[in-house]
Amino acid sequence: MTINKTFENGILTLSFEGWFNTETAPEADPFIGNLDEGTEHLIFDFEKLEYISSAGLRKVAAAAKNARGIGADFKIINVGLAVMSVLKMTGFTNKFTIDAK
Amino acid sequence: MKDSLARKITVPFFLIFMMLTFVLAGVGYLHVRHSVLDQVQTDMHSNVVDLETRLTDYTEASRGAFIDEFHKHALEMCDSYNLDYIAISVPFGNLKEAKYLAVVENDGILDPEKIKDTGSTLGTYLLEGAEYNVWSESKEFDFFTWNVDDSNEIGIVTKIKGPDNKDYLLTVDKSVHYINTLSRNYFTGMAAVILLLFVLMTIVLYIVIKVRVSTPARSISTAMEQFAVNGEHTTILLPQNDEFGVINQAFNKMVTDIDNYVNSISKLSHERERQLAEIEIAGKIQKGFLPPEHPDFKELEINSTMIPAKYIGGDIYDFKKIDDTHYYLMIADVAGKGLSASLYMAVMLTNMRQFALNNPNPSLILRQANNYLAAKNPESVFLSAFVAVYNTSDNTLTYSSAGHNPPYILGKRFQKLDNANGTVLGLFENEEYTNVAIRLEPDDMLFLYTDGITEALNRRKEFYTEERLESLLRDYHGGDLISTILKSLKSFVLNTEQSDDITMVAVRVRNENELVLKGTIEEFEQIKHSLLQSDIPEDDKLPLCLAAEEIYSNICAYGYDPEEKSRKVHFTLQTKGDIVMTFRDNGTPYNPLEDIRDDIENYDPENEEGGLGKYIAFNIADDVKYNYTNNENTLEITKRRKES
Repeated sequence: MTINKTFENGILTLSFEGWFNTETAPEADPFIGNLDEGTEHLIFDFEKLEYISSAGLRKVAAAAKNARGIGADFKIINVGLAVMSVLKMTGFTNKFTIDAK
Repeated sequence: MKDSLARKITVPFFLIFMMLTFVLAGVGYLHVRHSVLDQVQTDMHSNVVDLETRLTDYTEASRGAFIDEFHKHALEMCDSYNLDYIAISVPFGNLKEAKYLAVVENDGILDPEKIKDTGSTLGTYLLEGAEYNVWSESKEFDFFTWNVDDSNEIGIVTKIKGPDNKDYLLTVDKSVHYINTLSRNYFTGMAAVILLLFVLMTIVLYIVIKVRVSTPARSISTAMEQFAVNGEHTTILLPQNDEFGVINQAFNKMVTDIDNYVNSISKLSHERERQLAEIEIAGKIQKGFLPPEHPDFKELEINSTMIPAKYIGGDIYDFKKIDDTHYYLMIADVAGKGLSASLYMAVMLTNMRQFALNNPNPSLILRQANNYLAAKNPESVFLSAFVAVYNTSDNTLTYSSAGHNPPYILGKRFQKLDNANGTVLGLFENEEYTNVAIRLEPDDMLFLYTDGITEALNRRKEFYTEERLESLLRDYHGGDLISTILKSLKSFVLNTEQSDDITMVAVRVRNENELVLKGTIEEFEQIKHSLLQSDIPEDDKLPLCLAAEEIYSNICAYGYDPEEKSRKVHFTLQTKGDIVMTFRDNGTPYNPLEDIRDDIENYDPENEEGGLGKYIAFNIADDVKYNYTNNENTLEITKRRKES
């Protein structure tokens, strides 16, 4: 999995590419563990994410919690069909702001 | 040594001596006082008689002359005999009182008219028992005592003739204070002497005990302590012929004897240890001949075990991939056990493997093995053997037996392979053996064993029996068969010593898409690869991958003790008809179907940890089956194939 990070005007965007699963999920920890100072919006860009499993979902939830902790809002954008079906199945679509591709 | 023997014995003796000292000195004191008093009384009596004699001539004289004479003699006697008081008196009236006639004290003459005694008028005194006794003539003289100014006085009274030849009482007093002093001094001196004597006796006793008892006892006890605690072999030499001398000699003999015994025992145990070590090494060498217990073959899953009865056994098993399509499988039991059986075992194992490599034909292998052994077998050693060859190109198992316990086919069917039996190997040359071939299906299991199982004895000398084994095999539906049988065997024999080698080989035909994993997350790549490469519909690939990942990561995380080395997860993908993924693992029993959440709408992703993966997997699956048998979890995930 590849994770790209941009931080501009209080908007922290993390773009995920590939498979976000048990094996790769720990790679997200350094990004979501310490959100940059002044983050007002945390955005997960799933445009190039092919696959997500529960291990990935747990990181998503952890990131949302951290964002809430510093008063930032959280949003997932550009979600493809396969990933969206998992987010729907697990009720994540009811809890978070999620935009489809 | 704080509590030395000498001190222990002498201290009580010393205390007893102290008490004896006081008793003896006390008795002495009383005796002395009594005898001195006796002497005083005798002296006083003779004083009185003397005075009476001196006054006899004046009984006819005038009263004044008599008194003058009395004064003269009495003063003189007071002086020379150390008397305190001499008086002449005469009782009057009703004999209760007496009137003084003349009184002399050691420092002068008293006026009798002016003497004041307690309880009577001037110049008179009250008569006491002694005076009365004398006056009434029941006694010639009598003694009495009393206290004057804190000093004891002793007195004597007698009747004498006085003026006008009348009867008078003569009383003489003497202080006995000095007697008390004398007795006390005597007592003190006596006590000191006795005490000194006893102290000396105590010292002598102490020295005698010290020299004759304590010192030899200490040297014996020191030597014993050194021997018992430090293992120092000190011999002691006491110059004595008493009991200690005897103990000394016995101790020296004991030390020598123990030394000798220890030496010979350690020599023997050394020898025994060496022998055992050699046998153990032989056992290890023998095990080295055998193939690995859990080899890694593509088409066959093999588990095996050989537990020798006494370090080294006569059982053999072997399996080897001969070429691309042939597996050689063999089990045999050399008659007898121990070193000699193991020698034959090694020879036959090597030879038969070579025969198999030359030509993987079971009946031919047996024929060659029989002839090889029968040709040079002076001891008439024989063995039973079962040989099979599995051909992966057509899934056939060809087998032949030389008098060995018939193996079984387990799985979807139950079959006893008892239809290819020939004579045991090694007795007669040129025996013929026949081949039988059967077709095996994936998951079929060939179970080979030796009679060490069926003839295992319990405490009541009962066999485990083929019936017991067979009923266990009939109930087999997957899992670790060998462990299950060993457990059953153990609960049958309990603590009875194993009487024969126990050998088992379980060979399972693998499925085509079977993966054997060690339970690490990294290996999920293999499952992913197998799913993505399979012929399942494209739309189902990612969801099935997801389901497989959730299940597999669950097994990795919870199914194992991380210290456990032999973790194994089998993954089978069946794509004919419905798609079925099977996970089989030897981890702790865990049924994932229990407590699956049915309220995903209440799921709080930010605060809840687990349960999500299972939920995803079972949501994707159309059917899920779980069971736990023979120490294995089996989870089957089915996805129905969409009708095209």
